[in-house]
Amino acid sequence: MSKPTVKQQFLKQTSGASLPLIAVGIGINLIMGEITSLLKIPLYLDSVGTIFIGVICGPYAGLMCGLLSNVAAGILLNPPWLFFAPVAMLIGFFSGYIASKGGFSTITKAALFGVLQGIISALASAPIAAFVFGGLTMGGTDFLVLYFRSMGNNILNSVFYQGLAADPIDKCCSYILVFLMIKRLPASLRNRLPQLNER
Amino acid sequence: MRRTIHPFTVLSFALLSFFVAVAGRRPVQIAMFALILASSLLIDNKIKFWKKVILYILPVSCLLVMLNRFFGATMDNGIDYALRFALLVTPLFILFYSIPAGRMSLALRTVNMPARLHYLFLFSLEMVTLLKDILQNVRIAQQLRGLRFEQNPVKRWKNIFPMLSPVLLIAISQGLERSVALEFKGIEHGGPKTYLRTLPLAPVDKVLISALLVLSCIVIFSRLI
Repeated sequence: MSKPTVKQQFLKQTSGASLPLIAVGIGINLIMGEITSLLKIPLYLDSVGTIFIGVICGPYAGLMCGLLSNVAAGILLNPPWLFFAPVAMLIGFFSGYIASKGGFSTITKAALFGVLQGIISALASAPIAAFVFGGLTMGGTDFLVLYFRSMGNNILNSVFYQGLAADPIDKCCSYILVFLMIKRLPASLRNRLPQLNER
Repeated sequence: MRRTIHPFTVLSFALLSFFVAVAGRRPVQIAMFALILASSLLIDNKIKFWKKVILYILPVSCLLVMLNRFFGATMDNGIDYALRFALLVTPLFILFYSIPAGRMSLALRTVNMPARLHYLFLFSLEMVTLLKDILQNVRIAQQLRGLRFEQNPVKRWKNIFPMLSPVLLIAISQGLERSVALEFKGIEHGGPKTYLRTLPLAPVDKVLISALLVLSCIVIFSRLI
């Protein structure tokens, strides 16, 4: 049997049961902020939904989830989220791809790929944060940007170093969280999830 | 009846602002920003918009000017950053404060957007509200069972599972039920769909969108020449 084309894979992963699940992922992304502030966890964990959908539905579903998460966050929370949609799409696609290659088979692998994802996210978000926001997003991590700038770095480098300091930890924790959540899914539900059963 | 502006017209306006921010010269950028602020008089959520301008756009813009000066760059550099930030972000507030999500969804129906994407857009907005309610119920239920939030860091991390797991399981179950309903609704069918309500472009909107797109092209070409 011939290998499915990108379009076929995209349509398969964004139809049927995956479609409402992508919406679930978007919802999870947007409520993670509430959970972390409720539990006083000093991380964003705002990509957990995207990573989860990437793993259970596939990379293209993760990509859609990332894109629409930021559109929804732009509408419901803060419009500047829209600018980071490419980063979210990258996170969704990468997590789905990694999962399809067995990256979520053990917790160690998941943690390591989480760190790699963090570095990639920092690389992808730095030009956006530097170009659109001049390095300032009015968040807690702005102090890190100022610290790196005070050491003589330019804006792009400062934002990138700030991303490197925060993103790998955040994404590593997100990956571990998703790994544990999937392990805890009851068998009755796992059987109904499309991509998860193909592996 | 009062005529409201079409979402695509506002979107084109935001697009023009994007191109001015990226490729426009400073006088054009300042004029564009003034135009954006003036256009806020046409939207319903004026107070909300001006609150954002005063509490977010202006402070960040001022900080960008000051910090660039402070860290060795020129004042001009800071002003460039501040103007770019203001021009990229302010139109988005206009867009989202003037167009409710439901109206945007109606507009998307007029451009033959695939039904699944249209549905996804609507359901994702609905899902956020739904999950917030579920989270609230789960939080109360877990607190009644003895879950405490003010504990040491390790326990705080462990608390994430009793909070997130039920929310996720309820959401997945509801999502899977919804997928069956969607199948019955024929959302995967590729043929044309009929909708009860759409939001076609009025002639005025068509003229405005064309003018805004032409202006965007002029801004880009003026930079290239």
